[in-house]
Amino acid sequence: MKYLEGAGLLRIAPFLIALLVLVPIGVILSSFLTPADDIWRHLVETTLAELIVNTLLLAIGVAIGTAVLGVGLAWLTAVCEFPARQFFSWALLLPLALPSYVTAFVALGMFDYTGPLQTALRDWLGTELAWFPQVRGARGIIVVMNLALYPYVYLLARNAFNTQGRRVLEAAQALGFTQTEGFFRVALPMARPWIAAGVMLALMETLADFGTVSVFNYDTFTTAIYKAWFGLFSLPAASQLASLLIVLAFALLVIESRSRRRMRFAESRPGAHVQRISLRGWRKWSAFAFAATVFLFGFALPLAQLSIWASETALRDIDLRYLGFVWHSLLLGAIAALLTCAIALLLAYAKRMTHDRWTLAAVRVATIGYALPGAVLAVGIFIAFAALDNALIAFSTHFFGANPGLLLQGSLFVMLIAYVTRFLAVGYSPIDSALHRITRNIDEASISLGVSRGAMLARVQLPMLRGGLFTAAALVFVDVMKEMPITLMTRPFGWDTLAVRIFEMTSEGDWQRAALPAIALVLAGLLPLIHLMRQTEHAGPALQRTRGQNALAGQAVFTEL
Amino acid sequence: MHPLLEIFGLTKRYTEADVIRGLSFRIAKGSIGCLLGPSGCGKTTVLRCIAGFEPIIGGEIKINGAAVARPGMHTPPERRRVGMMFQDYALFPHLTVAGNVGFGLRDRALRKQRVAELLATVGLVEEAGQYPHELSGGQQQRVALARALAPTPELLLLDEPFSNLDVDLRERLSLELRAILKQQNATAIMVTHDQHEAFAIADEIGIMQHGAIEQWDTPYNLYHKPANRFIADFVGQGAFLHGIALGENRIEVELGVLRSTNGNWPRGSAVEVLFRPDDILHDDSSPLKAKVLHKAFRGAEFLYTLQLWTGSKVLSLVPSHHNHAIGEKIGIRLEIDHVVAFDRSPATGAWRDRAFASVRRE
Repeated sequence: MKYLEGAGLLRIAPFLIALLVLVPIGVILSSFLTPADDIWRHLVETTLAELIVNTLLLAIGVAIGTAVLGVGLAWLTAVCEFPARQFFSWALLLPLALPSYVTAFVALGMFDYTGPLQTALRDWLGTELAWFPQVRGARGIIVVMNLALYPYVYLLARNAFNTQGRRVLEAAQALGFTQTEGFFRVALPMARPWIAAGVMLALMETLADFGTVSVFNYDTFTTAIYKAWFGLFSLPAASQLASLLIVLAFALLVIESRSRRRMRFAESRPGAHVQRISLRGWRKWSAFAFAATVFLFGFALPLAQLSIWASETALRDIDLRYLGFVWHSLLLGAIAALLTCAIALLLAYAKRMTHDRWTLAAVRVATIGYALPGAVLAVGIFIAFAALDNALIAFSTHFFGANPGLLLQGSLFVMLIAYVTRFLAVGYSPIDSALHRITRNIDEASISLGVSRGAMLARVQLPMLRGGLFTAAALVFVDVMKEMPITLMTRPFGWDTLAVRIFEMTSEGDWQRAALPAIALVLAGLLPLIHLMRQTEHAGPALQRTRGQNALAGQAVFTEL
Repeated sequence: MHPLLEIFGLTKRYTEADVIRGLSFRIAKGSIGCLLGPSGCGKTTVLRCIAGFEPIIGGEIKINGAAVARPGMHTPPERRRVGMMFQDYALFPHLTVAGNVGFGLRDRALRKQRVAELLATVGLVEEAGQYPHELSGGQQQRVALARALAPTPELLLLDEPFSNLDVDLRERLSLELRAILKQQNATAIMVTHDQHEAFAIADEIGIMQHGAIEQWDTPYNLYHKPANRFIADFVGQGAFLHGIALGENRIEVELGVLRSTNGNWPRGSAVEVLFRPDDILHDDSSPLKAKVLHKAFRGAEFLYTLQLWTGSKVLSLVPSHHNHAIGEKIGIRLEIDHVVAFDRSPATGAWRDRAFASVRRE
């Protein structure tokens, strides 16, 4: 493969990028070794137990809830037939466009004690509503998180049920089992790797979540890290909290990547004739009611409420300062997306050229950022750059007798590095899967037609990569706009974004005024989501032709959303 | 004894192109039947109707004398005791070989013994603990067969059982499959588009075209006594020579006068007569000569395409030590037991018409 031999840069790129991920992790984990200070001891004595219980409670609730919602809805839309099934099969993905902290504050605004519903009921009934479920607290937060995160499981499980085809179910029927028995004995066990991967992704989001829990004033590791840093001004304590969170995140990562490996074996071709199980009578309408309820509470109602609030506050709130939030969000999203795509492209090419074990491992490490909560990354990267700054100052004063001041700390650079680290996998998987479609045979075909390497890049590879690059950029762009903890913790002075504005408004309990920036985020998130849904729809037949890698990669695109 | 499976007037419609129209056949217990036809003729659909995966809109399906499907009545697949081996095998990837084979056996006590017995039958005892993705295509096929046989179904359906295998594996495995089915005393229906597979396995074959069965017969009869032109063309190789009926079953073709074995035509009717490659023998001493146009080496024999003095072409299967050059004239002799003739359709090949212009002018 002489013609593919690249520059040395491509060879070492994966290792440099992996270092970018390893350094903050190393920094955080090494904080275990540093002697505990008073603040840390205080935290251990007072709140650590509560943090652990809160986080675990949330994790268990999300794991069970997303599994039940995701698998149930996936089964209904992928295999059964009921009214409006086609609509629900894509509409149930729409909650992906709502950041969970948005769903959270809308839910509080609508259903809390002072919200319109309870107020109206009280007025109407003339009594206090003792029976009304408590919206705040663990239960409410678990419901909100489930409504926001079930699409991960739904998407993967639906994919599993679709690729299983109906053949295996028919095989079970031909062996004497009813369709219901077939679901529990065949379809569900076969889909287990997909379901597990989906649940793990939902759990990663749960661990990483900062916005939702702070809306609910519910203390978990991420809020504790924020408070330790910006409330108690103890970076060491924040870092020690982060080290505990990182261990949990790694556990999820291991389970998730195991599940992904097992998907390979469980794949089979979809059958030609798809005869859906047609639901009748009460089953039909309960399926409809189930899907409709989830869609209503997960997407339609929050969006409607947001629109009402936003229209009430828009005139008052849209001013130069507000345009500044929008501009910062767009700018940061765009720069981070470009940077991430460039690095992801570098990684994907490096992996394509060298297949040795070390490069593959480096690529794997470089793309685990999605499992690391933003709060953890923010702390780790900040500490690492602070150390670098100090080293620079020492170096400069020693040799040049001049103090350059803090060059990196508090600069946009730190924030962008944190974004790239966290969202590299999001950008990497669509680019990698697009690159997979350019087989060596395509390269060799164009070379045998007498095309130079440069022309090959311009005329063959870039056009084939365009779709993947666009998808990657769009996804990263939206994720960066939504990202709350990294932005809050590492933004330079004056760089407030829409997400920051939402945080500020919700921490004052001013739901109405948080709606305007929220609706901007939702709209920005809807565009790439709809683009992706249409793309997978069109790519359907093509995917079936080249199953395997592409299908899995295509699904990874969605997964990392 | 009543047949195990009876199908009367089965009708089913998917799309305009994919239709089953009034299909009927029956199959006796312990017999292996086969639906053979070009792709898209609806044979897999028939199988799916028998298995119960598709409701039918007309006709009736009876298993052991009891109706399982007729319009408005549909016994679900799990209650039909019909096993099915799928084209892609549809093995359960999350279960081992033993788990797959034992899946349909609800009785725990019985399961172990029956699984062991079947694994021995299909020769996969050592692979019992492996997963489907660790097996070769041929091994997967045998797991699928064992799994379908395990609950001793009344009837076993095999959908293109060899389509996922290498060509050289097919022949060996088809003989093996027949042996296993016979050993288990299974009644089976197979669907295929490959006549070699059908001949190797089936006791009886139904040739399907456009959603209907054209002829249901033994492989021997299909080859030697095809009921119509389509079957004569579809099954085996052969060439047609134009002929003129002389009355009293006699037909004159350019190779002489033959006695038809499939009916009489009024004197003077234009017919075509089927000549199989094994009907025309090579004989150096014969006065009849034909020119070698093409030859295909088949190992044990050559398949020669020969041109007669009239210009018509015939095929001849000749032991391969008779190696003749293209263009050479060789002696041929007719040895034909079944003289099968059909009405000459106006659509037959132009070259034959030209070659026979003189005969027709009479």
